Amino acid sequence: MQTVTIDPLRWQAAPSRVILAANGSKPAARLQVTAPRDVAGMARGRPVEELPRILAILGAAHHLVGAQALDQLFGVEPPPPAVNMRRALLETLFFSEHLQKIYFLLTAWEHPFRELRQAGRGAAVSPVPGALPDEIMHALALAQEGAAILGGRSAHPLTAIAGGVSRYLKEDAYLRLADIAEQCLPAARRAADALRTALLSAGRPLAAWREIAVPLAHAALAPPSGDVTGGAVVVRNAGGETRAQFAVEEIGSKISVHREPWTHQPFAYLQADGWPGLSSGQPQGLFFVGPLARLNDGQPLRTPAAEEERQRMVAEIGPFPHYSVAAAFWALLIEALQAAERMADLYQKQNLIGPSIRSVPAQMGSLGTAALESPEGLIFHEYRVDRDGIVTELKVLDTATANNALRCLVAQRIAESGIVRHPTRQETKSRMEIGLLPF
Amino acid sequence: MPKKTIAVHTATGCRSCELALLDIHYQVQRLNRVADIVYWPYLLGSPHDDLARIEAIDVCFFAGAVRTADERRMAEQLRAKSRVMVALGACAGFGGMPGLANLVKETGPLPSADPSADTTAELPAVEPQVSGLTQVVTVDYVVPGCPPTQSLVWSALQGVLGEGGAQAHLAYAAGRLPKKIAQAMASGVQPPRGTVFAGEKAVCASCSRVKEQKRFESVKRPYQAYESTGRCLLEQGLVCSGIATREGCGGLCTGVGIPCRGCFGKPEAVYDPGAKMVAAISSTFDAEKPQKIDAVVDQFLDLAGTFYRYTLPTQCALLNIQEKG
Repeated sequence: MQTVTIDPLRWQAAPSRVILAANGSKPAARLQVTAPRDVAGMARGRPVEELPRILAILGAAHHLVGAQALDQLFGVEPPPPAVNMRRALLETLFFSEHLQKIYFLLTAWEHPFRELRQAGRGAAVSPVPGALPDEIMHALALAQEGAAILGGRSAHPLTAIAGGVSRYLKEDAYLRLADIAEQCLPAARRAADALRTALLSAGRPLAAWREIAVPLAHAALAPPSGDVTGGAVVVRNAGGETRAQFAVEEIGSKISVHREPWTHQPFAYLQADGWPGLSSGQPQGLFFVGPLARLNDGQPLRTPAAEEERQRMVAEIGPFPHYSVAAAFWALLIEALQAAERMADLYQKQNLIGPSIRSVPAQMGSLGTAALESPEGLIFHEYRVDRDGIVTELKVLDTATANNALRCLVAQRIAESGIVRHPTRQETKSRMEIGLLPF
Repeated sequence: MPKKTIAVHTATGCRSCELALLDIHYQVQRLNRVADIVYWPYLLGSPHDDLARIEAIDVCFFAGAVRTADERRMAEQLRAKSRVMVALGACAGFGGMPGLANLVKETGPLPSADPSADTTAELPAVEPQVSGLTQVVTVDYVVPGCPPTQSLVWSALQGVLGEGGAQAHLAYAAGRLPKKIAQAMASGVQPPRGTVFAGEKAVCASCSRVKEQKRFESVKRPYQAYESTGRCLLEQGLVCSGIATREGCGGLCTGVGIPCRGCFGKPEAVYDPGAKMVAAISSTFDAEKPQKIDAVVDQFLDLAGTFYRYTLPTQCALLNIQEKG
């Protein structure tokens, strides 16, 4: 059996490679994560209040869901300004993480370290408008500043604690936040317009990615199009019908994790269906999460610019649900717009001030659970603690685990789609990287 | 003058340090004025084979801790090719949070290469202990932090590339650093080998909180009530590692009311951050009778995981002595 290893893949959170094996007429692709993360090893034995900070190693949104799990563990409800500050941070993460993926996408055609002057000269071979990467980088810088104001740091935020947030903002921060919000929405609009025209529309480079699709069940918090935090998980099958619904507290028992010896990244599946294995059909039990999973409920969005973009997407590629790589990129744009619109609202001073920003816990339970729609999709934390509040057991569902099956199937689909055209190794690599990026 | 060549690589970590390099924002696209980035798997998709073809690299930024045999091999290969090796971030510099796994004897169901399974997809062997880059190869500079701050990353780029750059950029970068580094940067030469791109004193020196030399009777945990004023967190009874941690962040965490956990590693003058913390905390106990002292001591939990949150593999003297026999 002839094998080709594509190593490494760009833009992956964990070091990853694809091993392609020619087995008769059908190539087999195996997406492999080559290093373990082992967050349980880092978190077990720690005082539980440290977990939002430790688990932020999985992504900034894990800091927020960690704080929510502490709220439940300690039986406290954060005051409204604290809830708004956390939500403002989360929206900022949506904006910056989606824009970062879009920036990465642009670098598929444009060397990220080429100067603009040179980029202008090379514009004939790149479908990306010359100034767009710099504009996106500018918006990213602003959003990261917003995240740092709200979360203390942008990469690994700090300020969400049991019962609220650790401090009020300083007076000048409100002015700066308003300034940031004012600039982020036009930036998101410009990026959406440019990308739609240059990459997503019919005949443009990403239009071909409408063919690369893996119809699969998808999970999101209800109502996914309205709020990023919710009380129940809804799983819809590939046709869009509701297949299962369960409370956030049940996620740990309804979703299980399967391990394969050839990758360090586990696979999430629905416990009731059992582990179905990876096949390119529509295996029962596998699901995915993320922007596309949220939008696949087909409900209108509450913010005008995002809804307008969603309608454009529907007009161009048809009604939801969608499962293609192109649709997933479009979903990033829609959610980036939505986040910018929500930031403009949540960044208002009156939403972030009040008599209290923290409810101090008076007691400690033994179990804390919480779920959140992060930029990359549904995430879940469950902590069990001893009487001193030391973590004895934890379950964490991150999007790398939740989407591992989908990503493996996308890699397989891309490998199969290359049979006819016989792309070069570099082309295959680039296709794998672009195909996996939005998930 | 030919431009310097740069390589960037991450082993076990979270990519935040690599992204910190991108967080120089407006400078990103101007990096090529001073350097050619010849190897960066995460951003450029540089194949590992490319490394064999590259004769020499001027500066390598290596982020992440070393957990697998492949990562060790990459560290050694990059060291051999690079004139300057920079440990970027707490994981590379000190082992970081992944190093906490060294406290656990059973590391859980980590998969390893299964020879009976599909041999085309073997995984790199997982090492029994997590190591910092500094334990695997000789490192010339360290840029600490989890992740390093934007200003320190930019300072380090300016410093190790030794190219100077716009005066305003240089002044901004040098203004954040100790005199000897700033002087080297102003002269357009590389700072002395072994330099840590951060301050020399402890975080307390730049923390904005007020120290009143008060003593405490009981330990507070961050979920409990404490003053939201600008008073020193340690003096309020919270375990804050600022006194045993190198400054350079500007008191980022303490500034937002969250205790320091030591992501910049220990200052030069401190031998062991855990021992320093024990000494610092015990000197602030408001107790003299042994029973009272015992009662306060009993309130401290998970000392190893707290005092060595980011530094267990490299800066815990007790572990290092045990390893050396």
